[in-house]
Amino acid sequence: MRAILRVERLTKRFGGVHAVRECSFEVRQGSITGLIGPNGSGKTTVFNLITGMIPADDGRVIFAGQPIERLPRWERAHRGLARTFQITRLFREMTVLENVVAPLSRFSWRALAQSAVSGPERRRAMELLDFVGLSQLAHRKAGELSYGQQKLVEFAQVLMQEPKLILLDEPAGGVNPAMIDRLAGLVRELNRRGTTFLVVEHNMPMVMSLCDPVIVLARGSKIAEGSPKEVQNNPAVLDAYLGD
Amino acid sequence: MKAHSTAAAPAGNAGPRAVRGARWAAAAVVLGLALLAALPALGINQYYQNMLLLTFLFCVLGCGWNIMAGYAGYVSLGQSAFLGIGAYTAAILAVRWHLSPFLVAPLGGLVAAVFALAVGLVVLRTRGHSFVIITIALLFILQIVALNWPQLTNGSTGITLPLPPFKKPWQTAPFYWYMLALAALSVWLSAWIRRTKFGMGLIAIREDEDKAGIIGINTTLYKITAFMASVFFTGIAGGVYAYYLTFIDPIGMFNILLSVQTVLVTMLGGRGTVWGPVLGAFVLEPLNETSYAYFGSNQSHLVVFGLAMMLIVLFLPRGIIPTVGDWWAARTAAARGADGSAQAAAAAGTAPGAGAAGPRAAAAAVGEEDSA
Amino acid sequence: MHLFLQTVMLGVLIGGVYALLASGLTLIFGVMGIINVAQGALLILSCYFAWLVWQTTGLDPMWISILAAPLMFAVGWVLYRLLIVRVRGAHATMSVLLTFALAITLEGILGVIWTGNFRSVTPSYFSQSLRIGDFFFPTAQVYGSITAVAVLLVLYLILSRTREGRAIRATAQNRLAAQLVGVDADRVAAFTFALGAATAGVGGAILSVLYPFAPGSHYLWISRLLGIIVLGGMGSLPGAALGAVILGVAETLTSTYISLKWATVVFYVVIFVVLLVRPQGLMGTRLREDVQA
Repeated sequence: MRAILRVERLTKRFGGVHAVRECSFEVRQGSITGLIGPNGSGKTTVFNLITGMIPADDGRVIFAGQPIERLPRWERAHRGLARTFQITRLFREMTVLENVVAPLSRFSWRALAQSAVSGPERRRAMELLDFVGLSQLAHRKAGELSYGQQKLVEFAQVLMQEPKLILLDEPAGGVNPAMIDRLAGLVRELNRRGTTFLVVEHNMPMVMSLCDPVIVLARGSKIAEGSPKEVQNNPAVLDAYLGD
Repeated sequence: MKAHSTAAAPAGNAGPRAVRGARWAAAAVVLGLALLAALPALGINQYYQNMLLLTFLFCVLGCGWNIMAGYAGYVSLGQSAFLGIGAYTAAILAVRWHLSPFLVAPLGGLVAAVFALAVGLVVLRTRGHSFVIITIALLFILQIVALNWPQLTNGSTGITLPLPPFKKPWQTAPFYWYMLALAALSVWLSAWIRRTKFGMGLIAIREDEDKAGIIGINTTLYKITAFMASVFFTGIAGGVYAYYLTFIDPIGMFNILLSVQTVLVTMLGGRGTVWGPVLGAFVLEPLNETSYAYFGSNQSHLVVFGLAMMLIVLFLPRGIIPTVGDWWAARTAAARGADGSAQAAAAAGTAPGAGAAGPRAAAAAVGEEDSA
Repeated sequence: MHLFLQTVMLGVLIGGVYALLASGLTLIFGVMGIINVAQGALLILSCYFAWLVWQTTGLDPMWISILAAPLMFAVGWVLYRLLIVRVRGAHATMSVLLTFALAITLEGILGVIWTGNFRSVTPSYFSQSLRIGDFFFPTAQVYGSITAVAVLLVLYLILSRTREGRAIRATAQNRLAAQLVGVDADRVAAFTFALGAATAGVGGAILSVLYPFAPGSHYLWISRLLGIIVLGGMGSLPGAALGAVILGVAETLTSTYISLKWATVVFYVVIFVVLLVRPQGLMGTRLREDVQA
């Protein structure tokens, strides 16, 4: 199958230190790809580079057949790229519903003048809140929700963009086991409906049950890729985690 | 058009109670406007007409500043620079074209907006502090330019505008009405922005600008557009103000004191709320006149303003409207019991798109970034 | 060519003074993330202090500047404990508004006491020139620049050799990490703010000879200083020095070849152009910290 995302020789230095070094990999359309690696291996930086949070020093990012590494982050979003954050970021003073309708999947002057929470969007946002099981909290301020609930709101927010590819940055971090199962269920359900995922995660059981293939980063580069089983049995991966 | 019909409809699930509230609020606004417009005809004296006129001016300045500082979270310390730009535009054009400054004042708004566009293209492309810094310098740069470009601005001599043709006792009333109209339009613009997708985008930028970009909001365009919107009516008001004064010079027109008062007015009433600047203007301007009567000089005035601003920042950082709004919401919630709190919050205007449910509700719905 | 060299050298001398003035501002921003809009007002406060001491004792303003440093350090410390500490952790707009309010208050107080008239300190060498090789420089400017650079060196030593200084630099580089290794953030912030005020103290005394001042002059200075640190990159000390020299040279070149009155405006044109090309300033970097939180 074809690749929806192709990263080519991506490089980022922070004051002389290579956070990401000539990193190349692909994400197959329709897959749930895992991205793992020891702390500081550059996973989150790779996410930041792909989504345009920070500019890359070198390398290319091809999304849906087009280079996007020079586009501003909102245009990357408009092309169908979405992400969540390691530490959930919501607009805390807005309501949950406002948070979910906030994303824009394209730009038009006319849309700017529309009511903030208008008919069809509002219905869709309520559906999504229903999907993540939070519709009863729609009118609460986002900042008042528990951490796990905020993660779900961010999830609904991401879905509002109707993205082709969703980057999840540690979806299981800091949430209880029941919530992890629920998130994994949601990801599988959406994947069945055609959304591709790239998941950074430290929770290995979750990665091994959810993702295929799994890409392993160490020191900013890809060192291995394969099915969960292959990766688990790869000596290079073991070395990277144990330190060499 | 679908979008318009939904925009006009009362927001979301706001119940009949909210709809009735919105009607009452709208009626109160119309009545208040009519009353204010009638005052000169009812024969209030020049002193009060002048005071109200300046109050309207501060409404214009405050509502404009609030779009940038309250909604988008970008503080400008040079809002009065755009008043000066509007004043000079209107004065220069009125003298050259032999037209009434009233007619050319709107061009001042356009010139101000173009200035905002130029400044915005330089300092609003990234997140960060360049904006506030440039706005401090802007006032100062424009003053130097106005002083040193006599061919255009007549330098330090200043410009005398055509004498207004209005006869006593109507010599102030036309300015009063013009400024009232601008104040009303400023409030309308601010309220309209607040309840559109544009306004929600600005608040998203205030809350977390990087995240706003990630979810597809073109933050640069939003901020520059907001900056232009925030200075447009201020520019027009500059022309009207210049005509009212009949004389302008660089020192008087690019005056930091007006910027200080703009900030103060909005902070006092409630930054990020639609009616905050209006409330602030109506509280501050009469106090202003009184303190002039007592303290006289500009210098002691600065001390009063400076201390007032410090006190507000330290002890009333969200301003009157949000603080009172929260207190009221907490009170009603307590009165209804714990399980009714969600509905109480919704009724108090925390419901999404509450802007459509009346300005008062919108005011309560706007958040305040400083809790983060 | 001679005129050109003379102009550039004078610009560098002026830049030295600007560098000292901007150092406090950029230090405070680097460590605390606060734009101290009151820095210009603290400068003018010190101008009046120098003027007062000079009037009553006739002491050379360059010596007064050394006296002003500890005094303004104390003022800075008190201001931090009394006001600034209350907006730590709040949104950046609050600190801007608070320091803006402080600036206005100081301007007002100075105006009430000494009126809005311009003053200057005029020691014996005030209108003399110093000949160095083939070039002539205003004596006061040379003394001022020497004092400024000496104080900058002291500042550098404080930052690199003392415990407090190292804590400041650690905090500026990585606030969280500094706290993790046991740096008392509040103490560092107070010390930084006080140090920033002390540089304004020295700088103000030097300025009082070089430029006439009035209570309202602080707008001019804060505009210039903020321009310098935007140009150099917010929070970067070498950047501030570079920006200061660029401003100094831009001003002298403009006043020599075009006209004195456009000197300041030309500098802002430079800033605009630089920001268009490099929004983070000349020596600013966009670090990982920019992205997270």
